[in-house]
Amino acid sequence: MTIPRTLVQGALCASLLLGSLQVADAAAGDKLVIEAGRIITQAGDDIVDGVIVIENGRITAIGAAADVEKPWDAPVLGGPDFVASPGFVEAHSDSGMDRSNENLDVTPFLNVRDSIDPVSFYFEDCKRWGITTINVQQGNNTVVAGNGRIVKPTGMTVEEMTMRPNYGFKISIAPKGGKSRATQRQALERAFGDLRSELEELATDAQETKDYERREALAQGRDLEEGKAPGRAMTGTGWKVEGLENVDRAEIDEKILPLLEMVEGRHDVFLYCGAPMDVQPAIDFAAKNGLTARTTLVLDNSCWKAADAIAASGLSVVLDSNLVHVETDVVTEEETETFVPGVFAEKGIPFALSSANSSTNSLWFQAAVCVGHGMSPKDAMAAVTTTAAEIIGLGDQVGSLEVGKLANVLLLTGDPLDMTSFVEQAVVEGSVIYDRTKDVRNKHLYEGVEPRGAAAVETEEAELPSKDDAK
Amino acid sequence: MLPTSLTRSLTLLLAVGAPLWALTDDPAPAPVETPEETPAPEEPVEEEPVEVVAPAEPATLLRAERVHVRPGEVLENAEVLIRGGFIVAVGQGLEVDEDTIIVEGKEVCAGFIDPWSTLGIDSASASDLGTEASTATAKAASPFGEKYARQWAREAGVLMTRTQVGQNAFVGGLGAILRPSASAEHLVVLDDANLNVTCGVSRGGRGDVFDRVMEADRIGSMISGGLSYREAQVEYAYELKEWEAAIAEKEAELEKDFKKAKKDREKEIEKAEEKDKEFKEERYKEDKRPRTPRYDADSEVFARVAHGELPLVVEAHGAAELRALLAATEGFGRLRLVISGATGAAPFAKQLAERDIAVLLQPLAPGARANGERSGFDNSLFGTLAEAGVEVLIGTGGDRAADLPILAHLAIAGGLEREAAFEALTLGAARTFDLADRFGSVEVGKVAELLVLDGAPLQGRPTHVFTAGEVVEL
Amino acid sequence: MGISTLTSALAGALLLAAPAAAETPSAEAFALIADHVAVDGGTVIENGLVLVDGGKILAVGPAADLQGTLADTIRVIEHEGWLTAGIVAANGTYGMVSGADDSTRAFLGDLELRDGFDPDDSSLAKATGAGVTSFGLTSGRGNVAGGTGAVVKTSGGTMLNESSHLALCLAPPALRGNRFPTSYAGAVHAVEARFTEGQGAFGKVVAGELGLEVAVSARHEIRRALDLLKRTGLKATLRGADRAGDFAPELAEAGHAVALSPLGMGTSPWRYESITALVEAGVPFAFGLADTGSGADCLRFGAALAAREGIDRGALWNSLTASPAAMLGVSGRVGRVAAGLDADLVLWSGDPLELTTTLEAVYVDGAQVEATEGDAK
Repeated sequence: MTIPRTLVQGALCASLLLGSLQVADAAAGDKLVIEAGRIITQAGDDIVDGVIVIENGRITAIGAAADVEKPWDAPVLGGPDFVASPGFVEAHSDSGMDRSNENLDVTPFLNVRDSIDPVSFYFEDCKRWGITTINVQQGNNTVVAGNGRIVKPTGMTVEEMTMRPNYGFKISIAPKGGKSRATQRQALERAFGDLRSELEELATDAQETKDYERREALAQGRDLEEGKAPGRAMTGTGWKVEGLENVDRAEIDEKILPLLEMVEGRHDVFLYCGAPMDVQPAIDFAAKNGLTARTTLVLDNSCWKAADAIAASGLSVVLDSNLVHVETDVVTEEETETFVPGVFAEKGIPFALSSANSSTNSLWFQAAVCVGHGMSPKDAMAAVTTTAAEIIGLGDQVGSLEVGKLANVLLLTGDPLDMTSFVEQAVVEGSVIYDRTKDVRNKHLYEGVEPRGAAAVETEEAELPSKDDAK
Repeated sequence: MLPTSLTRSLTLLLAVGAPLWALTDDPAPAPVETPEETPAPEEPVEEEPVEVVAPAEPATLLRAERVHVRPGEVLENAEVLIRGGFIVAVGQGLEVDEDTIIVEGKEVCAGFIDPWSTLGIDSASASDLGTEASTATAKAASPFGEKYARQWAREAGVLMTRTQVGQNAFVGGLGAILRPSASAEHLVVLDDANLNVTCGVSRGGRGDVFDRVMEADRIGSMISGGLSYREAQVEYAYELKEWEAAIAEKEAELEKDFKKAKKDREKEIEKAEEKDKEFKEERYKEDKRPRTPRYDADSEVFARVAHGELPLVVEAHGAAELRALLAATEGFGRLRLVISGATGAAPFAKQLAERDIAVLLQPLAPGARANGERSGFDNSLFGTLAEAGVEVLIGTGGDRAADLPILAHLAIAGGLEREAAFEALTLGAARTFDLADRFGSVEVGKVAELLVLDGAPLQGRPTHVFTAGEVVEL
Repeated sequence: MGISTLTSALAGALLLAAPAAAETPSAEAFALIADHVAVDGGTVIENGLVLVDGGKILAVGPAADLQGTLADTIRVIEHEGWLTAGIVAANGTYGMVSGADDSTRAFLGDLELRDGFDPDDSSLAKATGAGVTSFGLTSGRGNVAGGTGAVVKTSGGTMLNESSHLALCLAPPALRGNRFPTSYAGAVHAVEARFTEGQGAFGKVVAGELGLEVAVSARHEIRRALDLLKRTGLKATLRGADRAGDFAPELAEAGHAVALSPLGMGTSPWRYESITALVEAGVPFAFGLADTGSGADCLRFGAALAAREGIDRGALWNSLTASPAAMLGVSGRVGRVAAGLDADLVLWSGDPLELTTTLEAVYVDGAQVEATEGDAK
């Protein structure tokens, strides 16, 4: 029976109006308008003399000033001299933590929540350099590392910073310190192999118990009610253990439970490859354990040599902050330079860039270097905005300036890929989290302003040796 | 102009409502149907003579003045026909068509195999001391790295290697047979060629003789452990079968008697209620399922070694540990032993020949340093062992597989017969590592890994190689 | 070797004409007959005979021609294999028991290196066992001027030339951090000044009484040495100049020679290219042992590897024998199997430039020194 269209619309309209009235009261303080001489949306053409309307942390309108109505009660940021752009997305980072790796090989039960340091300089710098979404994962020196998390660079506690908790696991194909590739592979296979044996043992025991109970009932002449299965069957595209529905998930060692969830395809996995020889094993490992659909490869810059294998696998990648790979031929002594992102762009492999922890290697610089090597600005920007957002599963939330997405907007003094541009203000989910006029460190460096409370430093004129002294 | 709030509501409504609209609209137009292809009528299948490989692929013909079919067997003015990567014919006047690629040369022989190599894996894996029995070389093998070593190996005619991780570890893990100069898909020929262990080597010559001899004993006990592990598995399988049969029988019985048992139980419940006593369920006992032995990958490998499914390569140099090793491995009837290094093996030549133990030696070149356990190695050991009837193999011991033909010359200088050296590089190595059914000679049915040379196999240089299914001009 | 195997008659005619053939052999004389007698790199006699007496070679020729002329009392040793001259190493430091360097001062050119030589040192016997019968005794690389070298035999301590050459080094480690000179510029300046001054060993070099050996390594060091030699108008042997092939035409024109470091397993391809360039330009070259820790057997092994790479075999054999003898100024004594020269001979199981060949006997000054599996009767 089809519901009359008019009735549906009417009901919706009514509920929304009601809702909006209520929301309108609370929303009065959560509105923001951003004006800019040019808005880079990363979702089509740039907008000249544009306006962005933000309410409750999301973009509700965006367009040319003439086309968009600004709410009269919203504060206005920016102006015709500014360029607005989506906040940059760091698709994979191990900065901002107290220690990026553990000593143990396999630690999926750990969580980066316990090691993220909200006052780390890294997050302060992210604000300065326009990075508004960061996927924090453990470092590369591991076999299977703990649970990561997506954060924004603002907040005094990890909870305040969190955008998405318990997100992603890091696995390294490249050897952890003290291992070689052979023993690393063995450790990885052992981790998942042990998981499998554990599960099989639990399933067999559960089945055994079930059978025993059935026979016991038969012997005692008792009717046995069909109980509900205590657990649930194993899902996913990888290997499966039969009979897992008979096992209560609570019985599974919590140390290996995350691995099971990974195999069932319930977590994003970031696989680190340190050399071209790691790539095919990584792809094979992902396929064998049902991880392919949720895997992203994190690559060292030499891995461009295995780009064909990556293209065939359909995986996306996160590239190293070192964008040019230099190799010297041992016999001819010739040096070859390869621009790594170019190789991936050519083969149609989706890639995100990553920053090293310094302004000269931050995301906007990486993107600018790509443009310098011939990439189009749009493609370079995509690698630090939309593609990065897709990789971490937030493609519909951040990465571009569109209605409905989170209001992560940068107000820059010029083009984001221009070396002379500054971030004047950064807005995350509708709140201003960075204002350069109040950035003490920035002012100290560029304008010589002393931090408040600093003792005045007397500079003496240095005494240079006179010509007479030289004799 | 509508108030902003209403605009917003309407925008939201439009955003949300649109899909709801779709609910009541007409369904989307159906996709265009592609007409189904009518299946071709079935044709009667004719009886055709069976061909070795599918005839569709183009063939390659090697023509030479001398074809070294096997060590000791040479065909003059002969040809070798290859199709689909396999040798399909060897002889004279073979049939070719216009698609056949023809390569002419002076001599043709099987490609060389370096049975002691680290080419194809990274150096960290090769020297890893933390390997275990189940660590697999094949997992670390890749076509990347050491570009020139691979290229020169091919140019010298060395087409395959037995590559090993954990060269200096006590237990090195599973070696693999690789084609080091091939692409990823043709790289691994055999991912479990052997288990490698060392005896008196892993301390770098610093251990005293008692430590070295003790390692021989440990090897013996690990092999015993493998035997027990396999026995436990076989026993378990048998017990499980018995138990399952018994339980099935019991279950069938119980099902038969269920109705009666139910009635009896209800009677008992009634009785208990009458007497105002608590009803106790009848106790049910059955034999427990036999416990599954814990799967241990390392013990599994030793089980395979103990049963002769995998050859065991032991690197040992000193006379003391060689003697201890021979004693420790005496009782294992199925064990296939290969001793590598063997610097002090001369006194044991007769024993080695009697027990059919092959010896894998690395000739010492002038200018090369013989460190630690290898010091004192003399190339004359080749002659001494060969004369006693021991099968001798030649290996480079490192990643410079291209040196193999040169080392073969040094083995000849040390007293090995020229023919025996050629065999060591081809069929001998293939036989020892279970490859002889597919590699090591120029015979019909084998995989084509061949050399076309401008002179005799060890003297001349390869001009072409046929490897991984294609002919390559050097 | 296969370069040119002369017919018996022609060879006989050439060699019987040598003056020593006129002498009457003594009672200790003996004859060696081998399948192949390599006179030098260019000449091999099939089924040749060498008559030895009093430590010298009396006659060389085809056995067919010579055997009949011998007295019955003369012992004849038949060898299945090759007979060649003993290998001459262009340089070496065997027997320098107090060390090859006296590196306290940079300029010690007047030291007579033979004064530090111990003819009984065990390293010499090892060298003889590898077929090396004489070598240029020289210093290490620790001084800019290390001393005045000599030419000695590895067995018996015979000095072929007590003062043969001045040994210079224009490369690290001679340029030390704690004494003058520490730089190339300083070294060149000081050396040139001494040649100009013309005193001591430097003066003898200028006067043509003493040879000159200059140790270098990198390409720029060869360049620097060549410029220095041009300015001073001197000829020299460049020791360790493995990159010399890049300068082949210039070396040939100036008349310099090159003493290369030995080839071995794992030698880079550019070394063979360099040697090919020297052969093509006609630059005399040899191989030395002073700068390597490897045993003396690496000389023949390296030459065999080079032969396998296709380098002219005659030139290679000469580089182990006749060329270093000429470079050391002792061609009249060693380096070839010819009448009048010392009986420093080696018996091999086959062509010494084949990797499968082994050494079977060594004679120095006519006395057998090393016998492995010999045919000696």
